[in-house]
Amino acid sequence: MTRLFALILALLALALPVSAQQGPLRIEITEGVIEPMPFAAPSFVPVNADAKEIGEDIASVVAADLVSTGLFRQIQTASFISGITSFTSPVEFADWKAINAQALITGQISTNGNQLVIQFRVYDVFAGQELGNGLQFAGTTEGWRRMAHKVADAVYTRITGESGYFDSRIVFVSERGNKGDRSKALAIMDYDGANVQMLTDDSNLVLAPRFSPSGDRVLYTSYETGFPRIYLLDVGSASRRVLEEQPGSISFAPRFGPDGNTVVYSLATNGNTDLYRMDTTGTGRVRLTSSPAIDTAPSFSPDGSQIVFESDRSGSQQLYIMPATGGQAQRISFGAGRYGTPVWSPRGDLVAFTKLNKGRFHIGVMRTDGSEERLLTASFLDEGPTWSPNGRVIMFTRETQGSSGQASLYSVDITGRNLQRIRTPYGASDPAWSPLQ
Amino acid sequence: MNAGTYISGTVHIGLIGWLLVGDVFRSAPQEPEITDVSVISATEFDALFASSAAPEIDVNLAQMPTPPTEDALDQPIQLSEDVAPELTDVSDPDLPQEQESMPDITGLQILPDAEISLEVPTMAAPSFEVGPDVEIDDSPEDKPRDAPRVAPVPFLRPDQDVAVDDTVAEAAAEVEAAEVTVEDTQAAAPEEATTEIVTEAETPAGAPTSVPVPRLRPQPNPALAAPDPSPEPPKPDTTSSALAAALAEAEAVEEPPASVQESQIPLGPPMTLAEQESLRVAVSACWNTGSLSSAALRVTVVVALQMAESGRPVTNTVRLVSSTGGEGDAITQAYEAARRAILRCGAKGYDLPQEKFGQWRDIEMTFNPEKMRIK
Repeated sequence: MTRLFALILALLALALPVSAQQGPLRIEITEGVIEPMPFAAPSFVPVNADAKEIGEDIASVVAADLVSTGLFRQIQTASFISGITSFTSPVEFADWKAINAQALITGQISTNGNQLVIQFRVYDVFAGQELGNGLQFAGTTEGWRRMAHKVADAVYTRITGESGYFDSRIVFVSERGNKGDRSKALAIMDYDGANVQMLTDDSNLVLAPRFSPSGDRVLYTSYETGFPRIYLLDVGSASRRVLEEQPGSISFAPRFGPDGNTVVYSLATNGNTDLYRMDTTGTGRVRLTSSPAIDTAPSFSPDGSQIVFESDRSGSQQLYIMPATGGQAQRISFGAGRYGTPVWSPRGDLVAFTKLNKGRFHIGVMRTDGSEERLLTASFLDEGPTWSPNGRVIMFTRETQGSSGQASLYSVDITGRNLQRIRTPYGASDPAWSPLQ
Repeated sequence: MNAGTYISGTVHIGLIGWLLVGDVFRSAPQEPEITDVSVISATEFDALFASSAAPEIDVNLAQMPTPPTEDALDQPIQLSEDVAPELTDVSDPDLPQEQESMPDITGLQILPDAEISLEVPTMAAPSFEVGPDVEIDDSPEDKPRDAPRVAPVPFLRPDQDVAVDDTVAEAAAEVEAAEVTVEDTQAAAPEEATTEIVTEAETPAGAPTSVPVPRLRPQPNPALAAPDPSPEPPKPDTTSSALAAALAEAEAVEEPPASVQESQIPLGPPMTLAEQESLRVAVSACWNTGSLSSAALRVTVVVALQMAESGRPVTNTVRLVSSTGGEGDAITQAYEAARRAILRCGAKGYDLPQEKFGQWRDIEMTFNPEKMRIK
C-alpha cells in the first residue's frame, strides 16, 4: 500500500508542472555517447590537371589517419549527394546534413613542377560554420604523404582540441627468421607503417632503440663487440658512435632526457645493475642508484625532474620513482604480478608499463602515484610500450606463441579501445615513437 | 503570474498540506478482538471430549433389513393392529410431572478446584550451530562491470592494418624530410570565420539585432522556368523522392522566433518533469564526447539557445553562456560538441508541447561531462 502510494506520488510529481520557471528553461545533460564522429572527405579539388591524382591520394591519407584513431568514421564517397567542385564556393550544408556528416573536410591542390600546395578547410556541418581558419601547406610532390599527415594533424587538433600524431615516425627492430635464429636490424617508418627504411644491417643484434626529443637521433643497444653497448645514431646521416664503453661492464636500456643532452641507462658491473646518467657526449657520468638489486628501464618525466624505473629490490620486479639526480626511490606498483618497462607519458599524468600476471602479459597505465591502474591489453606476450607524441595512443610489441611465433607492432588507445596491428614487411619489435615532426 | 503558475501553486500546496495533515482523514484504528478463555484441568478436558466421542458403528450388514423392492412398494400398505400405537391420556394425574420434580443432587461430589501452577516453564533455547563467517568479496573485480557507454548503433570497424610501402631500402639511407612550410601570410579562411566565440552579451552595439534567415538554395529564374503548357506527367522515381525528402528535411529552415509577437506566444503551464526529461534524453543521444580531448572533457559548458515553434533549435541563437573547469581550446571543443548535440538531434524538431511554446522557447542547457571522462 505504501509503495503504491509512493508510486502515485512519483507519477504525480512527474506529470505536474514544476514551479513557475523564471527565465529560460534549464536542462542539465550529464551523460552522452561515445561514438566515432562521421565525417566526409571528398577528393581535394585539383587546380591543374596534374594535381588530380595526388588530390585523391591526399584526401585518402587524411581520411585513413583520422579513421585509424577510432574517433572518426569516414562516410563513403558513394553516399555523397553533392561533391566539392570548387574550393571557394559556399558549402551546401544541407547535402552533408542529409548523409549525417558532422564534419566536412574540403581542400584544393595545386602543383607547379615539383612544388605542391595544399589548401584545406574543416566545417561543422550541423552548425553550418567553418571550424577555425583554413590552412595552407607548401612542399614538394615527393613529400605529399607527409603533407597529408600534416593536414590530418590539423583537422584532428581542430576537432578534438589536442595535438595529433600522424606526422610522426617509429623506430623499431626489424626481425627476420625463426625464433631461434632471428636476425635484427634497426628500421624507421611512418607512424602508419609506410616508408620503411633500414638504419642498420642485420649483422649484429640490436635492441631497444629510443628517439631523441627532437627526433633526429636514436639511442640503441648493440652487441657489435659481443657485449651490449649503447650507441648513438644520427637518423639523417646514419652515422653512429659508441656512447658508453667501460671495460668489464655492459650498458643497456638507454633513454634520452627531455633536454636531449642527457642519457639515463643501466650499467652492469660485477654482476650488479644500477642506473646511471651522462651527457650525450659520453662524459659526466653520475651513478643514480646503488642497490644490490637489478635497476633498469629508466624513463624521465616530461619536465626532467624525476625518473621512473623498474627494480627487483623488493623481491619482485616493481616500478619505482626517484628524483632525476638520484636519491630515495618510492615504489608505485603494488598490484599482483610483476611490472616492468615503465614509460612516462608526454602529458606527465600517466606511466605505461608491461605487466606479467598469471602467465599473461599486459600493457597498462597508472597514475604516477600508482593509483588508477588500468590494463589495456592481454596476450601471450605484450611488452615495451611507447607513447604517441600527444599521449593518447600506446604502441607496443606483441609476440605470438609457438616456435613459429612472430613479433608485431600494435597500437591501442589509452581508453583500451581501437587495438590495431601496424603492418610491417617483416617481424617488428621494440617500437619507439618520435615526437611530432 | 499566469494561470499555469496558479494551478501549479494550488496543486502543490494541496499536495503538501495533505501530506502534513493527512492523519486527520485517516480512520481510527480498529479495536483488536479479545476472546475470553478459561483454564481447565486435564480431567475436565477428558470429560468434555468423552461425550463427543465418535459412536461405534455396527458393520454387520447381514442383520440390516432388506429394503423393499419396487413391487412391494406398489402393494397397498396394510396396517396391522398389533403395531397400533399405544395412546396415552396425558391428562391422567397419576403420571409423573417431570417439570415439577426436583433433581436429587445428594449423590453429587464437588470437584476440587484445578491446580494451576503459576510457574512458567522455562523453554530451553534451541541449540544450533553457528556457521563460519562468510567473507563477501567486495573487490572491484567481482562487481558487475558498468555497462560500456558505447554507441547505440554499431558501426563498421575501420581497416586495422594500414598500408605498407612496398619498397624497402635495405641499406641505411638518409631520410629526407619533406620541406613543409606553413604559409601563414595567406589566410585561406573566409572572413566570417573566427577564432573567438562571441556571446550575445559581447555583441557589438552596431551588430544587427534581427535574426538572419538562413540562405536558401538559389531558385531558378522564373522567366526561364516557364511552365510547359502540356507537361508530361512525371515518372515516379523513388530514389529521387527519397533524396528530395532528405534534402528538404535537411534544408528545413527554422522559423526565427524574434519575428513572433510576444503576446502571440502560448505560454501555457510550466513544463512537467517528464517533458523536461524527454528533452534531456533527446539531446543526450547526440552529445558525442568520444572525440573530445581529456582537457575538453573537464569543461562544463552552459549553452543558451532559442527554439522555433516547430521544436527546432534556431542555429544562430546557440551561444556559450559560461564554462567551468578549463580554458582556451578546451572550452571551444566542449562548446562545439554541445552545439553539435543540440543542432543534430534537433534537426527534425524536438518533441515538445506546442501549447507551452513560451515555456521552452528560451533554453539553457548545461553539459557536464563528469561521467564521460576517460577513467
